[in-house]
Amino acid sequence: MRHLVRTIVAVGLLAVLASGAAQGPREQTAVVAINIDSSSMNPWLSTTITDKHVVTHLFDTLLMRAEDMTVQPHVASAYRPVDDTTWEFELRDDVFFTNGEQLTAHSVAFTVAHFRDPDLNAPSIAQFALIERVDVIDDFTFRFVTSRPFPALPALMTEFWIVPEGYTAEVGGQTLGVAPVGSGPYTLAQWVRDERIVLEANPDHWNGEPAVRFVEFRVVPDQNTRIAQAQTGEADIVAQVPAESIPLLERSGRVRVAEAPGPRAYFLTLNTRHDTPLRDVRVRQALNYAIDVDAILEFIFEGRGIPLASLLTPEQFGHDPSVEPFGYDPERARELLAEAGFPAGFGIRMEAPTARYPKDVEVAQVIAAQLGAVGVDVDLSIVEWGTYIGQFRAEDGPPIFFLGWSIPTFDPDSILTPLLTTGHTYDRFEDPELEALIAQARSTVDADERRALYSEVQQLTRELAPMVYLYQLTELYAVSERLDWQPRADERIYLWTASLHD
Amino acid sequence: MLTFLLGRLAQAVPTLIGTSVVVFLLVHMTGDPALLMLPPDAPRSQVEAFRASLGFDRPLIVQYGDFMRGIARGDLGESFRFREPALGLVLQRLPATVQLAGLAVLLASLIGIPLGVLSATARGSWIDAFARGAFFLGQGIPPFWLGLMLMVVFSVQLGVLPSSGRGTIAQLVMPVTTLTVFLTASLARLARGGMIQALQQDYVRTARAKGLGSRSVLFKHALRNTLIPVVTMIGLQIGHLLGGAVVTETIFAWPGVGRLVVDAVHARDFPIVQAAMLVIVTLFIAVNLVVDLVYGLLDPRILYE
Repeated sequence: MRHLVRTIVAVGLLAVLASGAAQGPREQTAVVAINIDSSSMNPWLSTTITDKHVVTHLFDTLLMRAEDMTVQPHVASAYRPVDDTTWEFELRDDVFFTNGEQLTAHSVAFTVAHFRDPDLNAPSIAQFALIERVDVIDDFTFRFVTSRPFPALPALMTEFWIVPEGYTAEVGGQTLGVAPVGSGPYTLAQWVRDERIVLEANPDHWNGEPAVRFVEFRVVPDQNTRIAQAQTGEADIVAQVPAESIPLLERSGRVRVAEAPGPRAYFLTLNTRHDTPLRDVRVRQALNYAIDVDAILEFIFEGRGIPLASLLTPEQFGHDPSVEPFGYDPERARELLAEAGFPAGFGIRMEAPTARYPKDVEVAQVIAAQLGAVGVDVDLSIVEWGTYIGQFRAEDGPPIFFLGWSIPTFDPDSILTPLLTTGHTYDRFEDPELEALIAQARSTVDADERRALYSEVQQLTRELAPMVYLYQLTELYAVSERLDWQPRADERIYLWTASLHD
Repeated sequence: MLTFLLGRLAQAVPTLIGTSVVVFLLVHMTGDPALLMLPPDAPRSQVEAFRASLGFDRPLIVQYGDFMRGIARGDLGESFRFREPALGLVLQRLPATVQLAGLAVLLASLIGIPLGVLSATARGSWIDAFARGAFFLGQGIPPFWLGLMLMVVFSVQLGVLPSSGRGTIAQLVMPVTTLTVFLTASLARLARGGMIQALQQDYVRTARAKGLGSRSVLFKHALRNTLIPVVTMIGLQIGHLLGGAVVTETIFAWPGVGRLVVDAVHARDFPIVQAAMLVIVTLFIAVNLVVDLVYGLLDPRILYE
């Protein structure tokens, strides 16, 4: 018996002593608390926002979105359309991967071949489908040839990470994901699964060595713990801070709360594929009038957000501020319902996810109550995210469902085509005129003409009301006083322009 | 003894197969990893192609057959998200979980059993009353609340302990305490109840009557008989904690198996869920076997033939 106890004690002590690992010195390290670990550091296997934060530190993109969200030259020093389906890019001649390979037009051609390799099975390539081929003109000049006119191509090139041909071909795409070699401003110093990712500044980066020597992405799954780490100074950046934590954070004296408009549009999709009252445009308009978006923003989000008039947030290309949100008008809603033949309202099912979007359950409950006030009796189900989206593979799904949609390219085609044209997972509405207009806008190269077309789209989608448009939220970040860093409207956390001070 | 061990091993096989069927069906019946991994703008055609590349376009029974064939070769599949062997990912997280669970159970046993004995021998006194109140509280406090309160006091207010992570002894204090409080309380209550019962038995009176010292009566006679349910409880708790103390691991960002499984369930990363379940069930079976053997040590009348 005594022997058994002694053995257990010994094993326990061994377990305590067995762990331990090195990190960069705290005063040279900016710590970003993130909710989930990276799944792969191969940019073409990246799926989550964490993955994108990390890979953009390790790999350069052709173009880069500046802090004001305009598309700027990056590794590509210049680009121009040659004709409607050809874009010519010129590359800098001083960009090297950290294994010594030079980044050239051949690297770009290889990158396209890499992410299209069926063995890689890359998830995020649908948006590049229009690129037919890469023509290498010389070492530093190449052309993208597209199968149709593709005006959103430059915007998309901010999400085009270039991988080294020699290294990737040698080790394969999976290994690139755990032992990445890129040309970016940082290199991977340490990756402890489910604990931390430590990046070290690349002193030879063509854009100059970043001021912050180490960046640590620390995995902290619980939101309360992330907030606590901002208060204690253990973390320098915490994203997605709930508004009610602001006083707590400000009291700590170590943290400022910074904000940026969020990249996501929130809305309710109205499924018109079944024979429900939602097929009637008056009913869809009535639902838009029945929901008091301003009240939701004020009482659930402490006023941090704006109501939307369409699927486009103000930061997107072609957003038309003259198209106004429906506004709260329950009288009008009742009138429209009566005109549509539902003077006493009707009952309908709605689904919303939980723990996916900020306060998703609260918002869904308020919406159900507000619709109830005009006679639309909502049967609300709250569903876990994986189960929730699993049901959209089939074309039915619930009559009303809650979604938030972010577009890394800020090009409205990435939200309009998948939601309002057929053949996509979440499309539940069809209108030939609208579909034609979206198709025309997607392939109009002239920016002014294209903007005018999107104006028309926004007017038409307000009139047809295929969705109930809700809001765009302001994202809050806790940032330590020692770090000079500003949040971005694309939600990305980049530290190569940041600096630390005491 | 050998026959007994072989018999137990043979019993483990149907248990594992049964688990594999249940887990396989459960994970495949809800959600769709393709939709979770692909960006929302992926056209239906790409979603279907992606599903086919993961093998989901085939009948469930065929997929299960593949899974079993893989197990026979020691291959539990590759994680969809990490694109690495799922078993390796699970085993990587195991040391962190074993460390946390082992320490918590060890501390809880070393504190809880003596406390229970003390409380039983001083039954009715103020010590007993105080201890019973403490056990009740310890079992009643939910771990997520206790964990957050510890963090508020020791990390945020006092700034003496790091709020998350693994690597230093300081980082162990709060997660281990969170788990230990509940375990200690439940072991102490069990030990107290057992001791009170044992102290009323005839053999204790006999032992006292024949003039044995009170220490000898307490530990050799009464405690030894009390330990059987306590050991059962410890075994159950170890098995439970090896499956991951999900709440504690999440609050303190402890990189253990529990968090890996929860993340995998959310992402519908089937191979990880399946591999983790098989590892956990295997460990549970092993812990149960050890518990059975310990019974034999505690009570020589229990023989395994």
